Amino acid sequence: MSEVTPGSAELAAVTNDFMRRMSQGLAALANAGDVTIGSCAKDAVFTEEKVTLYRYRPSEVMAPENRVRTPLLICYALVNRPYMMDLQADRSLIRGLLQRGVDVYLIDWGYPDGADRYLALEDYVLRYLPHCVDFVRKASGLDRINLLGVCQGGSMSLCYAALHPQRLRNLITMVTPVDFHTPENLLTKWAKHVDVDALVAASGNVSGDALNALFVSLMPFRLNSQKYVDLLHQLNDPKTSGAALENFLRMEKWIFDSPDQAGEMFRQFLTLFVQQNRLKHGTLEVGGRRVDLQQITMPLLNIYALQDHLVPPSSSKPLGELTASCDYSTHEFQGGHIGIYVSGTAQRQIPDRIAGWLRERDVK
Amino acid sequence: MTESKNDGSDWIQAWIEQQREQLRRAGMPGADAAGAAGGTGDSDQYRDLGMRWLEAGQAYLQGWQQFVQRSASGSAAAETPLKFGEEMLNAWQGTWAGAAAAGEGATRQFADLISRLPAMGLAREQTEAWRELLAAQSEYQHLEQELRTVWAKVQTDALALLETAIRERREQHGGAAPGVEDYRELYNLWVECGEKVFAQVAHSESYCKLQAQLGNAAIRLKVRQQGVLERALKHFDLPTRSELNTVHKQIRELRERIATLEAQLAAGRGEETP
Repeated sequence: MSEVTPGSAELAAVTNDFMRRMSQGLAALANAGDVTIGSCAKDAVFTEEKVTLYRYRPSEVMAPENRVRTPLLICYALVNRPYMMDLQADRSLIRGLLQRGVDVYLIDWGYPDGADRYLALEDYVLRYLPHCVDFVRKASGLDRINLLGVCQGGSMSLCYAALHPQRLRNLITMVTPVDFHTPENLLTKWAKHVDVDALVAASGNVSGDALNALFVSLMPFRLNSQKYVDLLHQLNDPKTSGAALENFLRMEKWIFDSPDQAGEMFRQFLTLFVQQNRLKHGTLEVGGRRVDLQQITMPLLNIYALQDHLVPPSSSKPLGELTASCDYSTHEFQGGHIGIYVSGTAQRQIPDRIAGWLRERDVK
Repeated sequence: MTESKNDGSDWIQAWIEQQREQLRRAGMPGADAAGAAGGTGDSDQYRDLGMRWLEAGQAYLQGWQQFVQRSASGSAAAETPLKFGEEMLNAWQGTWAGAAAAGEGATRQFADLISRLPAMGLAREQTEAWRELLAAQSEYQHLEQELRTVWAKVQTDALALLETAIRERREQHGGAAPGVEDYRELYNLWVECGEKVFAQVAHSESYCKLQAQLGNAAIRLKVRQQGVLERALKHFDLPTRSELNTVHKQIRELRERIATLEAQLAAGRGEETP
């Protein structure tokens, strides 16, 4: 605007000041180096196609006789990478579990490519996951192990637990969607009218970048703009440490390091779970076998985040009424879908809660 | 709106008006706003290129039709293949020169006319494929524009909400304070208002439908693009995604048969199966 209006001079001044701070922040950002991911030592103990099963080396601070005897297998989601569970030393659920004597295994699903477009739900629930469970059972010499499912990995874990209840001692679900049709579930509303068959037929695998764009568009003002403005402002603050910048960059890497989704699996998940809500209704079939959540009788701990905008608590809470577990517990976390793994509060609460709960139900 | 209040808040109102002005400009047809907001410049170029190819194909087709007609009436007896080739070349060049000289409106009109004619002749399949591609692109652009309009309204409403929020803050301070202390606070409040407005829109059935319609239109456009691309790849005997899909399906079927046989063998040995 070329005309002079009341306030325009002041506006120019505050805008310039704001832009100057942004520029200084950008200059500081330009000096940032690469970030490293992960903090705990682990070994690949089993592979099948692109799937790798890792075992984390036990913490030496815990005497072997005090460890939880039954190993814990973590089944992560297919969306995003599982290193979120061990992002860095002071933001690591896995480190917290190891320090509390839990023997931790983690499934890394890898990065599906064009050759994997026909991988289906049954490949994940009836092949990869059972093979990993069986490996851990054999390695530990125990018939039953503990399974922890995260987000979509929790939905898959519920399917597995319903089909193979005799192979699990305890089941834990974290931020896991069970009822996809609750009013707060924006992703489901957006997916409702999408022609998923046509999408997968045209795209093959579904691009991780496209999914990222979708997730970011859930809160466009905050996630496209504000968080970066916040960062640049923080960088101007002499109290801000280099570690804060590294933390930010590490999170950015994790957020946007998104594998493509195997086409058929994506089609089935979106249609059967999200659009048709079959897991909740008990009408889901995997490889011709009905998934009946009433078959889940083992102890069950359901952990959800109260400010979760991706998997709202209303989507996770119904699990308690859908299974036949006589030992059902919940843990409500004051935070969001990501904060439950990386926030300071999470580091203090979540490993404690999981390890304590497992210990109480461990093999004697 | 720009009344001076002598409370230091003029710059806030000036900022809001500045944003409104930008939104108004973004909504003006022919303004640079589309490009600035993610832009359709590339897609316009592709559409224009597609139209020119359509026109060139049509000219080629018409040339053949005229040649066949003259042959049937015997008037083509004196024509040599060389002369016919020259005519075809002229028609081709004329189409491109014409397209370059004519405005976009005229090009569009011509493309619209062609799109209503039934495809025929040697280029029938190609013409049809390109025509379907253009129709899919047009549908996509129409829906994209609708969604942009919704987003623009979200931003406009966010500014209105911001104005209200600042007024309320000022009133809480007896009208003596500007409502926000600095640009950063104003920005954060604007983000908060934007998210509030967007959340309401994003949960509405109409928005969910519109966004899905745009996604579905994008899928149809991609299918048409793949069709044209695969035809070209086949021409050069290069492998296509469709052929790879066939191979992957065959491998998968074989793997499933092997797994079934292995399970039968394991069961025969009394072993546990997954």
